[in-house]
Amino acid sequence: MVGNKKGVLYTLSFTLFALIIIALAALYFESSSSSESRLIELAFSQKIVDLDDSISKSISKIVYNGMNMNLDYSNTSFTVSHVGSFENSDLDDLLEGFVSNVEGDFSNVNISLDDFDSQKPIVFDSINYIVKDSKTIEIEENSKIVGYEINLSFSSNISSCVDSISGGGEFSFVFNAVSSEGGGCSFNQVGIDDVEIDMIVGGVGIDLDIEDDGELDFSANQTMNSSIKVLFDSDVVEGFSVPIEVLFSDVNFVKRSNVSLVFG
Amino acid sequence: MKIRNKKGFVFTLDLILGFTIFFIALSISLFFVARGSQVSLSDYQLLVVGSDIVDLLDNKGAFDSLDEDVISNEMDSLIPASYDMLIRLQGDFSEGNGTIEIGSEIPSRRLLIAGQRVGVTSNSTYFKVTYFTWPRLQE
Repeated sequence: MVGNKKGVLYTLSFTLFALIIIALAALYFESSSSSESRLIELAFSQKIVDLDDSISKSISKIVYNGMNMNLDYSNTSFTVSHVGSFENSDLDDLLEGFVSNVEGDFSNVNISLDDFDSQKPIVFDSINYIVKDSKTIEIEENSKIVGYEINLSFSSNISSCVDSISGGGEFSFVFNAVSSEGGGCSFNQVGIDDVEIDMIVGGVGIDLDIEDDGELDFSANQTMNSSIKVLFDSDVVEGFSVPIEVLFSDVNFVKRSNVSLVFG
Repeated sequence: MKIRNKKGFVFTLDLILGFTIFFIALSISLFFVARGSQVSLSDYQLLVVGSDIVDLLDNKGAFDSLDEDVISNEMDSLIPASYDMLIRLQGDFSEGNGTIEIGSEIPSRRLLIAGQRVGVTSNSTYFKVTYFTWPRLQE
């Protein structure tokens, strides 16, 4: 009778032991299949990041080249410099060609140029720097803007430079125009309200207007190198971007982002 | 009394035999299931290494002129000793009739990881990059 009970006890112990082993095997299997899923997701996201990053870099390169542009920024300002005209005539074609190539090669990618087509805004922390065409720039009104520093360098003679600067405001304004052929003008004032400068360079008129709400209009039908530094008083939240939307869509996956301008 | 006593141990022996067979079958099936679909961290590492190398080449301007020697030299200086790689550039350009391949030959019967990126040259010519990375055989 005692031996019989012993046998049943052994049976129960082995059953318990076997159940524990099965439970551990199930746990191991679950854990390894879960970590495998994470790795597959990681590899998938790496591939999307790869493609997204390379699309941004390529568009940046096309925009930098197409606008003959350099960008720089600090905590309290950003600077856009152009060498020559503000926009090359083939920029639109290059961008459209790039988009059509990418969409042809990758069926899950869709790039929208709709908001960048007619005017070409460079967005820096909600301030819109718009290249309207090869001769015109506009910076839209923005309460963050507290001043401008503008440097222009011409290869034609500056024959006239007339300013109309009204005080009583809160802007600071630094302006410097030089020419290798002679002539030039410069202003450095604080506490201004609005600015209007009319120049004649090589017989062609150049206009600069700054309103009290921070809006800047610059029209220059003349070859030059320009540098426009926008001063603002708040901390930088976002860097440079352009409103070109890149959409990745796949089964159960959608990623939508604007192109950030990458420094070359 | 003796018969009932033996009966208990026979049940136990029967149970042990049953579980032994069951666990052997379970282990074998787990082994093959795991081996058949395993994606390891080292496979992911292959993808990251390939991606980083192509990204660095792009940042260094190695693709700017689509010059095979320039790309090859830059690639050799970047690729770790334990990895091997092939980069394929495809696009509407005259060099190599639109396809340039730089790096080692793709090995047969070896695990390799592939990824894709896009890029433009210094004069904004589009190209697609497909890269393959695999562990180099240690000699």
